[in-house]
Amino acid sequence: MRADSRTFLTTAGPIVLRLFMAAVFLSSGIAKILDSEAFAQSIYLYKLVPVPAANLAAVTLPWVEIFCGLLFLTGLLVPESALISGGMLLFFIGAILSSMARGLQHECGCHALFFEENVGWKKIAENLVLLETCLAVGLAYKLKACPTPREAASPAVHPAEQVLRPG
Amino acid sequence: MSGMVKTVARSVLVVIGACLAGLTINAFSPRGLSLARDYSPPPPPSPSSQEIIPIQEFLRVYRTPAVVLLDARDPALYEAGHIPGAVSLPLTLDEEQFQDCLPFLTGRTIVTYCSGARCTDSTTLADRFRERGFANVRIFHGGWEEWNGHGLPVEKGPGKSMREIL
Repeated sequence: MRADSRTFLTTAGPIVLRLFMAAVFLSSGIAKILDSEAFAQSIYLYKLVPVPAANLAAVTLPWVEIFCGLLFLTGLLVPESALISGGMLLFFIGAILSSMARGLQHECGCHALFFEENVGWKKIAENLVLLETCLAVGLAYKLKACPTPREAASPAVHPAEQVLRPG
Repeated sequence: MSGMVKTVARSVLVVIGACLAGLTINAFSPRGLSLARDYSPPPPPSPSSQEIIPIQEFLRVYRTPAVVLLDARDPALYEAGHIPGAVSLPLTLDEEQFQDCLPFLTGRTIVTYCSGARCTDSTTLADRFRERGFANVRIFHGGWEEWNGHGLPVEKGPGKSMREIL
């Protein structure tokens, strides 16, 4: 594979995935903020926390998603954003598994990306795909395979080139 | 190592900032949530007492040949665990598949159940049969939750089709 195409894969790939994650988290957060009462009701259905804690989560969680979405979008603090998003996705997977283990059948209250909104294996698979994407984006930016906006503005040597250079 | 610590520290700061933003905007928004209020929707209308089959009666009859036990939950939940002998008949079944089941059920007592007393799928499924002229339809209202709560035996796996069981 030529260096040009490798450079493209190591830079454009993570950027595309980062923008995809931005779209996922921004749309998910905005939808929840627009109907926070419905989101609070979705959290009740998990029967994991008392009502005040569920309300607190309904107020704060969408904003964490929006912050992550904005960071993914702008390319700032991407590893941090990936870490937070990954943590949230792990938590969502745990909550869905807990509902399934208790035989609860309800809407997951999360963003229906590929599948319907009910808790179940499909929803877990969807969250695992997002988690994997988060990890890939976070690692790519942590290892500087992609330029941050500041680096992209004045790269002495393109960061992707640094990764590809032997030694 | 210190790079990782910095990443975690910055992540914590982002989360705190987001939470503070959420709480502040919620406090000033006319559509903001009150943290103490319960926003649960009103409970669904319960089926009438004649429709409900109490667990004592249910335990006596659920494995008799005259009774067909139908699990209205999602097939994935059915496979994860169901009442022994129950047949999966989720509400997602289309009309044609539903019609195919009807000949097997004629002349039998139908008992439906779902996740628990708060779910409505068992009632909806029972109504679907009544609309088609089935008179002897009962609802095990406590459903899977009540069954599990009593520590009764469960069956796992895809189970058998209606044709195999009936």
